[in-house]
Amino acid sequence: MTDFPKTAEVVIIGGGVVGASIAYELTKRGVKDIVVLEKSYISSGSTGRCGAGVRQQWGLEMNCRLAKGSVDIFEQLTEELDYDIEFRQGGYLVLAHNSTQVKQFERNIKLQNSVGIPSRFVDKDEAREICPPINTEAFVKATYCPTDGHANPFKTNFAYARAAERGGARVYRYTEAKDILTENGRIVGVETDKGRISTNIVVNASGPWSHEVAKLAGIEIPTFSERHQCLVSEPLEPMFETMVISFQKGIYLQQVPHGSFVMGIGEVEEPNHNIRSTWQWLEFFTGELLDILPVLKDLRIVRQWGGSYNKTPDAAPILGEHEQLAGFYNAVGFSGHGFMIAPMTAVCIAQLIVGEKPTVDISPLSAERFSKGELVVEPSVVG
Amino acid sequence: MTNSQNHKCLDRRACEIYNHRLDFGLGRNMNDEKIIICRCEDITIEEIRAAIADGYTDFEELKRFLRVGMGPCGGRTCLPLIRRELAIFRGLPVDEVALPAKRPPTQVTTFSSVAISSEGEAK
Repeated sequence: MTDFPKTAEVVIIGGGVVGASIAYELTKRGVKDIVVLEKSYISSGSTGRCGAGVRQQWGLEMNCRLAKGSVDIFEQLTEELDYDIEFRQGGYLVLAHNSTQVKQFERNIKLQNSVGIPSRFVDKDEAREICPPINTEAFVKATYCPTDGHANPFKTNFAYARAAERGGARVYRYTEAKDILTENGRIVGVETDKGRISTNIVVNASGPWSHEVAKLAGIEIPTFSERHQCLVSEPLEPMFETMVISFQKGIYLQQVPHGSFVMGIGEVEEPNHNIRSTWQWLEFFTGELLDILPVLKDLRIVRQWGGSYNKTPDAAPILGEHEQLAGFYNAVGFSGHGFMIAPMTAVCIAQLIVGEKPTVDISPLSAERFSKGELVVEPSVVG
Repeated sequence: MTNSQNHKCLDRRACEIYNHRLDFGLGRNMNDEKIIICRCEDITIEEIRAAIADGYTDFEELKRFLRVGMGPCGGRTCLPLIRRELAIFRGLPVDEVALPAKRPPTQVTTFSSVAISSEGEAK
């Protein structure tokens, strides 16, 4: 490519929903000279493999604020980006299986309501109204938030990437960052397989590869990738609109607008980049699924796949400029929830870069919290 | 609202060459809008060409954008036909265009048959 840029104001490593949305939010704030490096195709990492749910029912105030802010953005994103992202608010039904969980959910709901998230407890009868085929023996109580929902991750990713391009950003697919160049504790450039780009700002939005990319800059961050698997069924007539999840089982399932069911469950895994599908997982998942929704026993499985959760020790992301390297920003370690909080995260990162005060105070999510022992443990992680 | 319009192509020059190739020799038909390529998702050759010309030029991106190959047949019919289109777009022999990742199961399977199989193993 003859016109590969030699300089850029900002280089974003990663063309998934996080990188693309940050690029877009920067163009909105007047930064035009942006290069996005994607080492494969758009949505090739975690975005293109995610379960597509958008949830606001969190146990940490910051996550509640990022999620609520993101839903507010999702609600008008189709219009803003001029691209149908298929956002639908069918709600999330979160199952509690015992009194300890009910107590935790009481705290969660109080917190969620305090930041404007309309979640509430529902009893078994109401849960059955929301999701008629659910097995009410499988849980004791549930919480429900009607404004939670679902969006198409591929289309959201494409929509952000294209809107960023219209704003001046240049997105390079099949272009890999090979080295991050620093001098006297600040960023001076990025070496790619297509040439060197001089820049003072690099955003690490590389999802599963966040640890390796930070290392290119000589920075150690405690992120690691873990395989998570999910599957999609044949399409059926609409049965229910809500997402159903259980933190205890680690399961989530939802019928998407297309009619198919997208479902997944977490398994204990060693950290690595293996994302192949396994038969053992399918058997494990089937047992847990038929406990909650036995009615789906004759549903046909069409496709099974795997992807990475890029995790941190406290399951909360690492956001913001690195203390030891000026101009190096992380937006990584979303621990399985990057898609749903990407819109508000992107706003905050873009605000930090242009020197504005972030809408949500993300300073507790700095990379330094681990060495200082100031973890922000999120109790409500699924899948 | 259609997503395949009013958007800058990610690689404009390549898309122009592709349109040129289709116009001269590699063939548009009168009824492209009626020729179904993906039978599971009802996607026509016209929609596939429009998506490629609009910048969805990677097999995996096309799949995610149009859902081609994501239906119950697992792409048995459509993937070879779309591969040919991408070969025209890239000016490559067909076998040099990589197919998207193959995903299990090879044939659609019910949950109950998975459950029966795992019970059998437990005994």
